[in-house]
Amino acid sequence: MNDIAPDILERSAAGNLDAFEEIYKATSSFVYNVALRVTRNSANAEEVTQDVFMKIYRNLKSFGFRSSFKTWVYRITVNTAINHYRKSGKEERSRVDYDNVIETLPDNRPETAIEQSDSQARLNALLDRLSPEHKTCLILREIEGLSYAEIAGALNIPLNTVRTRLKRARQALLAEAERRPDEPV
Amino acid sequence: MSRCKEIQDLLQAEYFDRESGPKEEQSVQEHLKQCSACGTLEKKLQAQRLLFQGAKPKPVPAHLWGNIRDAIIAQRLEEETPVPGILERLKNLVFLRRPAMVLAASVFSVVLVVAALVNANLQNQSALRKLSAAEGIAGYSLSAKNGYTIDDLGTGIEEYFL
Repeated sequence: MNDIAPDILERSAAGNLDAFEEIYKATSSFVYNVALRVTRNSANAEEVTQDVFMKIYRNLKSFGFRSSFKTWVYRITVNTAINHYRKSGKEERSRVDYDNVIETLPDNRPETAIEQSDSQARLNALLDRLSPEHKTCLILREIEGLSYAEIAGALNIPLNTVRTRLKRARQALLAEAERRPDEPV
Repeated sequence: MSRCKEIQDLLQAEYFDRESGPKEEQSVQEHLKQCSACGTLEKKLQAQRLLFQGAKPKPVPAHLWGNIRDAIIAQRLEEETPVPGILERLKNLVFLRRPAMVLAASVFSVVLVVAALVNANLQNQSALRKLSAAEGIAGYSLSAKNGYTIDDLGTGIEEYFL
């Protein structure tokens, strides 16, 4: 996520919509992709993204710049995505998102691209086996490249808990990867 | 064995994420040279990381900013609309024109007036009936006094010819 100049934050807090669009441009990719990884559904990811930006807009005045703006956005995103995931029914969660699948399919489907899309489907299936907390921790570290301190700030947990969650999530993924595909879960 | 557990803990977290100190890093690297079990774990973790590295970010749908901007404008309009005070709300409650209420009140008034008129008419008719009955009895009594004996009062026509 790109850094945002303080004057843009101040103008946004004063209600300037152009300045708020700058914030959107700098942060929307992070927000949308984390939402997509957690909810696994493009429609839900759009809903979460809209919710996150409405929360940012409403609370920017009271933000107070006591903590890093980036950490604040991480926290709002993660909390909104996890809450949305928990509220959505089990049935909705297991539904295949065809938009997402079509986007990942390459046009001419050369072998390497097929392998890549298969490995993405496998990654998604493995991530689905994890709890939302472990999954989010791993997404923030492995895909978004956040440091332990940033993850701790985003999830509002101690550094040691970040470490433990990452370790357990990796162990669980290794165990799942070693399980034969026909083996019952 | 306990050394392996210690190293595997670091392998799956700080060492793997480059968050460990130089001393820890060195001790893990030295252990990995000697221990094949921990070396295998490291290779598995590297393979797992490759899966994540292949995960490319998806582009944000173009229409999303438009939706968010519209929602913000709608919220601003809602906030800018003044909320009426207690006195104004009370005034509205009393004086605001409500077509259904006005119609119901008009119909009710008409029904009340009609009911009063009908009632007055019925009372008049009843009073007239009582008066004519009293006059009839008085008439018969007067006839008896004049020496006529009336055995059968008969119908109105007969009474007329009598």
